[in-house]
Amino acid sequence: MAPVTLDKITKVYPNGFQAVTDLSLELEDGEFMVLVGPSGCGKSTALRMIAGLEDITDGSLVIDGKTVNEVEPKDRDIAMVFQNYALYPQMSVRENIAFPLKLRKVEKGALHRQVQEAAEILELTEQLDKKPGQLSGGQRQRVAMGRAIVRRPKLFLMDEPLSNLDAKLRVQMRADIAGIQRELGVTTFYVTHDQVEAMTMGDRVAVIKDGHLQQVDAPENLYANPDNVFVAAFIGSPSMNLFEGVVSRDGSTGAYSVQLGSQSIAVPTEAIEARPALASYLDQPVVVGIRPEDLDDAAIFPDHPGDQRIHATIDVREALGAETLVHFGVDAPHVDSGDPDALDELGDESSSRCTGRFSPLTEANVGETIQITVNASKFHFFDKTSHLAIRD
Amino acid sequence: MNKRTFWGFTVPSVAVMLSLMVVPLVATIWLGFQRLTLRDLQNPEFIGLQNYRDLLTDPEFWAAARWTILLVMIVVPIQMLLGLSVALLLDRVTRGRSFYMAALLTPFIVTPVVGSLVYKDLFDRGGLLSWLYEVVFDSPFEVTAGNVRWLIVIQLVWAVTPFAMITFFAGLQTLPGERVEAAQIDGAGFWRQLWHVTLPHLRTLILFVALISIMDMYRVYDQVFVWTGNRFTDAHTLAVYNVRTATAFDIGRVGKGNAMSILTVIGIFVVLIPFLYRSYKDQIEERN
Repeated sequence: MAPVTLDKITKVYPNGFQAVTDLSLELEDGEFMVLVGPSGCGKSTALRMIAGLEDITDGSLVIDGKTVNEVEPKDRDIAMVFQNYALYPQMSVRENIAFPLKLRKVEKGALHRQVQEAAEILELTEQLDKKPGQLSGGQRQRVAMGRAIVRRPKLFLMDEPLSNLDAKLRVQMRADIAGIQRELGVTTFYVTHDQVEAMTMGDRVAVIKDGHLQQVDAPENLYANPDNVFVAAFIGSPSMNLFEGVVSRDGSTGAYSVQLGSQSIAVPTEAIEARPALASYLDQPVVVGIRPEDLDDAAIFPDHPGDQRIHATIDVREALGAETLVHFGVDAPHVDSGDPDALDELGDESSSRCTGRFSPLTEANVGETIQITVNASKFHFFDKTSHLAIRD
Repeated sequence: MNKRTFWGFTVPSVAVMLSLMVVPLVATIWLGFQRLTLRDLQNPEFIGLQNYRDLLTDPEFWAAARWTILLVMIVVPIQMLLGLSVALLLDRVTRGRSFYMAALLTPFIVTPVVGSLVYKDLFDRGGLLSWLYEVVFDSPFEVTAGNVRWLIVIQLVWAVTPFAMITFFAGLQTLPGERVEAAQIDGAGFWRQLWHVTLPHLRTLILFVALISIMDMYRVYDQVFVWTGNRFTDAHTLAVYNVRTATAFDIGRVGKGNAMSILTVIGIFVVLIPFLYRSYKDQIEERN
């Protein structure tokens, strides 16, 4: 349990590849920090530098007041949970969990007690005498956790620990790990590419891309106020819809509107005035973002203002039960968020694919052209070149 | 699958196995009970266990057996230790790895008899090592009944270590890096990593190399023959003794040679049983 500071940490590999650039983060005592980013963004490298498995090229790493750049992994008082569990196959569960204690020459009685305690926390008491090969994926994951918590280290490091589990188990382990972490109060640094894990588990979430830190904030803030286009698109599923649009003000009425391709959407004056910086962007192309849940079927919400709607033809409809995802095209230029994991071609110079999270009551079908309500006060605006949020 | 297809696919391999494995084995057993010399191969004469009795009462047979077992006990452990050490070193080398690998594998690729001749040349008059010996000890080097055994041991280690090395090196490539890193973070230094992570991972390969090497040492012929020829019969292994028995022209006894082969097979089997049992158990465990 200790505060951890990363001060402008940089990693350059011998071949010249710069995996992490000036990464600065401060973890408070007992905090659960999630580092999230697309594949190849340098998040695992960052974690491995904290663990001591990779040299730090530049910058300093401070754990509990001590700079540990040059300290051996085993002397950093950290524990790590790996993606593939990294259990010792020839040892029983008990021996696996006891291994770090045995190496530290913990006296037998204490060792037994601590192993028992860890096994109870993780509900592994029944499995203690089995070999890892006899356990399910979820149980192996727990053993790996056990080996980490048994020592009560200053810092937990977790490298995508849930990515090998099936979806259902992942949801459960997600909650379990967060719960155990809170119970033990150990400062935790958790790396994942899954933004859902990041949002649900972290006290704070750090988004990283191409080795550069994008934004650090509490999950709700990250979602509500993304600092740039990448964070906006990366956090949230389905992703925020992004287009190029123009904000303009009617000369006579003073009313604001956003032009998306051939369609115009009225925006409440308060929403514009809440972002003073937007004033200097009027009548210029900006990046406009709208989250899927801020769109819905106008047939269900007849009272929604008529000037805050667009019409579109439905391409795909996915009924998920609690909600229905609807995909449609908008004739405004598409904006690329720069996420290398985004597989779909979401649009081009003149059209964008857009996703709406509609109420399950919607009766809109593929091929129909319908009216779609837009919660215009929830628009996000970003600079077209820098991709930074336009706020104040 | 109908019968025709079944037989069509299995008969060729069964026929090859029968003709190359079962027929020779049966023939060897049968010949072991015959009196048969090279001079008169046409007329075998059944003599029961006489060949076995002759062998087991021949002090030279026992001398060869003792020396062979001693060779196994000396060469195999050295080969395994050395092979493992070199494999661990090679695993750490990143630059020029393929060069070192090729260089280290040479003894394995060279035909044993050629390797032995080259090695022997080094100790012959005018050879590099005999010259060095003369410089250091100020007396000419001579192969004697005393040192020929050590020369054979050194040469065998040279010849067989690459096999262990390449096998262990291959095994190291499949060791998950995460497991090593986990051990590092758990607090294991080099030796503990070796003991708790690397060696358990190589377990089956260690068994495998031991198995093959023991068999190889039992059958050593070329190296020993090149060094001893018909001299230094004290340093003859079972295989050399066998050939000598079976081919010595006037008293050559093919039947006795076959009896000897059967004894060797039984001998190897006895030594290998614990290894075979162990690896069988491993397989069963792995399947569960």
